[in-house]
Amino acid sequence: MDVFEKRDLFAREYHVLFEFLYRYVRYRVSDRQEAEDIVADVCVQGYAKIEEYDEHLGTLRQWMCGIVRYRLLMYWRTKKMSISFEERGANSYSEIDDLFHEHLDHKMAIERILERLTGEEKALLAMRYEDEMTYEELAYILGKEVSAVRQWFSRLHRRLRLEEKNGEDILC
Amino acid sequence: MLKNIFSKMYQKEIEQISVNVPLEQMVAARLGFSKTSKHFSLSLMIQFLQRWKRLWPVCVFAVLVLMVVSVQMSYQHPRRSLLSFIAPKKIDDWQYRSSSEVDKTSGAFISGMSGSGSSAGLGMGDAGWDLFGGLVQSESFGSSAGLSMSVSSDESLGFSVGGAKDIGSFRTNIENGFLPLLSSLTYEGLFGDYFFETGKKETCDILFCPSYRRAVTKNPLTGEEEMYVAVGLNSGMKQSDFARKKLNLVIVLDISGSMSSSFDTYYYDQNRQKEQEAKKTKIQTALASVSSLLDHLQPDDRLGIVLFNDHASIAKPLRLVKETEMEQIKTHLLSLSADGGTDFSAGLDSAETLFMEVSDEKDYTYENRMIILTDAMPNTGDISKDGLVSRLEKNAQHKVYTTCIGIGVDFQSALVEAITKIRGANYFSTHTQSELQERLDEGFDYMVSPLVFNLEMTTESNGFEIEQVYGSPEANKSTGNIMRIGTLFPSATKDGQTRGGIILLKVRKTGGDPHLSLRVNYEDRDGRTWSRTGDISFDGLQADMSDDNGVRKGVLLVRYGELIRQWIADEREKNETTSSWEQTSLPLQVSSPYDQIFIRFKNYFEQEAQEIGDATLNRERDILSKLTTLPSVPFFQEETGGID
Repeated sequence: MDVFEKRDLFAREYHVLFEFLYRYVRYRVSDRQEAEDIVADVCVQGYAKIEEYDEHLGTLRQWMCGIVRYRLLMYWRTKKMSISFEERGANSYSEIDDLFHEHLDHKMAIERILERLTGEEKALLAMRYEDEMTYEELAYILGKEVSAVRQWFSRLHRRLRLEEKNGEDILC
Repeated sequence: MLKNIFSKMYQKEIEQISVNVPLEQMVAARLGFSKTSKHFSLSLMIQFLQRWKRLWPVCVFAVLVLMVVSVQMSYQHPRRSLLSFIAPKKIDDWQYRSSSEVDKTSGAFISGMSGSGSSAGLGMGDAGWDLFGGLVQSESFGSSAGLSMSVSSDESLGFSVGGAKDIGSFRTNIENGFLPLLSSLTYEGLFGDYFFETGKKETCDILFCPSYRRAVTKNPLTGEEEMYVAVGLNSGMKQSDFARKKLNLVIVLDISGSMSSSFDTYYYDQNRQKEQEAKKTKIQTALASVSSLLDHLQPDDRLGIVLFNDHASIAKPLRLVKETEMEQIKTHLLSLSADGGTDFSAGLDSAETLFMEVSDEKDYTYENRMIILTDAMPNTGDISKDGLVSRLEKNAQHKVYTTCIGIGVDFQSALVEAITKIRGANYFSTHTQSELQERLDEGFDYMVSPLVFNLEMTTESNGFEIEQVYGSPEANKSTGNIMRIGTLFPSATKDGQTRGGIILLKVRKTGGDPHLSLRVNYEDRDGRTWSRTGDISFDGLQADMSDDNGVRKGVLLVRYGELIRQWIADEREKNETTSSWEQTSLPLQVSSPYDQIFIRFKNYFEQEAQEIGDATLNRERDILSKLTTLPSVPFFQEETGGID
């Protein structure tokens, strides 16, 4: 595929790509203006560097996904998340995970709890579970110790467990 | 478990995020994707259909209702189409009234439409309709006449340099028995009249990839051995890949008195009245050219029209073509008459005013171009070459580029030659109306889309230096090891040959090294810089050998051009004209020793043309034949002659 065919492909898929990138970034960056700046920047950068895209290594969407992730990494390095890491949870991650497994039958309640999370907390979850980032990577992005990140997830799980109980009360 | 539940929630929430469509369109525009491009529209349609499957029955119902309504309306309003009820009304925004129309208004009679008004001096009542008939006719043979070509969309595009795209003014003068201006015969214009093999062998996947071919050949007049390098102006871009940007086009039309003269006579000749009888005037030719131009505009282009004589008027504001009643605009154009002086600078003022109205959008979504149709004989306002050129240079800095279309046998090519050295500029001369029409059919989109800027070629060699550059308006800016070219435009190709697709370097041997390294740097339209290197060697190339017919044809045309230019310069030296731009004609004459030189050169030309096998070279052979049959003027200032 030569550079003109790549440009052609980009033009053909632009609409789908833009929607994907917009939602992807918007979910992870709570400030709308900043999210839109990133999306526009990623589109322009991607098109300018389209020559570097190798169709044998993946789809155009995957390639653009790599660009937007890198761009978000840069964004988060300069923009701190306002998630409190000061509170320390008592339980380790594995303990919390175990606790969580006790509530497999309470999906509805958990969904309600997740919906109450802040935008940045959801972004962090998306990075962990959708983007499959390690705790080390998240720690790098957030500028925190790995242990602090682990503890944040632990605390979240514990909160989920508590909220779940409240949820059960409400449901009852 | 948390992961699974979160994933479901994530999918649900992310789908609910509404996309900022204006932002999407703005970014698309910045990337040069037109909303109307086939890919963009198709993509949107597929998305819509996929997302709103459940709405299909509603859509089908809506279409049925629409059909019923349209049938009813066609009964009630048989003269109006359904679209006229839905689409916004197109506007006839013509706002120019000639002095004759104003007179008629004061006489309590307003003739709003064309044909009936303003025929004074031109007989446009009938001529206009003749002209219209001529246009229809030329459309019908546009793709089959001499210069037309069968273009395969898979064929690669080439490039040609900016500046003159033909030597129509030179040819018209010769045909009509006048001595042409020296500036009417440029090498880039001469190359622009021919297709060249460009020596493209390796696959090229970038915007500009030059190739190099060599020739060592003996000059038939001096007997000296000369060495040439032809730079093939290739591109990796296919014709099917090329899509011009949307266009903000302002047509600047000269309606001064000189435009009322016959196409093939000199306005400032004393005997002009007699010769104008029954001849097509320059304004008629210009108007036909404008009509041809308008046929190449797209709905999302914008069109503005400025008319100028001793003052300028905005005849039509800049407006989208799809919102303009284009047929009415053509009709208004046909009713124009020509009189008054020529204030070129006033025309530029008005054109710049129109571009200022769209300055917010002109950076990347639109190409901006003014097309000036004129005989280029300004006599009022700022008539200095430097003044006019510097204004157009400023416009070019703001990405408003210029095309000149020279009209008439007395077209002042000296002024336009200076103008078209400016970045992004080019010019054509209308030899005949049909020829211009064919050139527009072949490459209107190319003509308005400069793609390569500030091309600089540097040579590195211990054995050669550049002696002369042919085929570039900036040839005089080239030095021993650097060649500079302001602008390259896309150019049509056929059978692997590109119109005007070479620049010819005459190189001089300065040492024993047969190798020559060439490095090309250039900017694309977005200001990004690129470079490419190449090497050639003259090792083993014997006398009278050429790599291919492209370089051989280039050398032949350059020698022809050099000889003709030298002859014109010497003939004109004997006949000084009085005014800077208002030229009078000089009869076509050949003074000695050129009569003998032309005979010798014609033999060489015919032999080379036959071996190259290009029948289109017969045009130059015919000119040489005409020059050799003219009676020779015996007393030439031989001490000034530089040839033979």
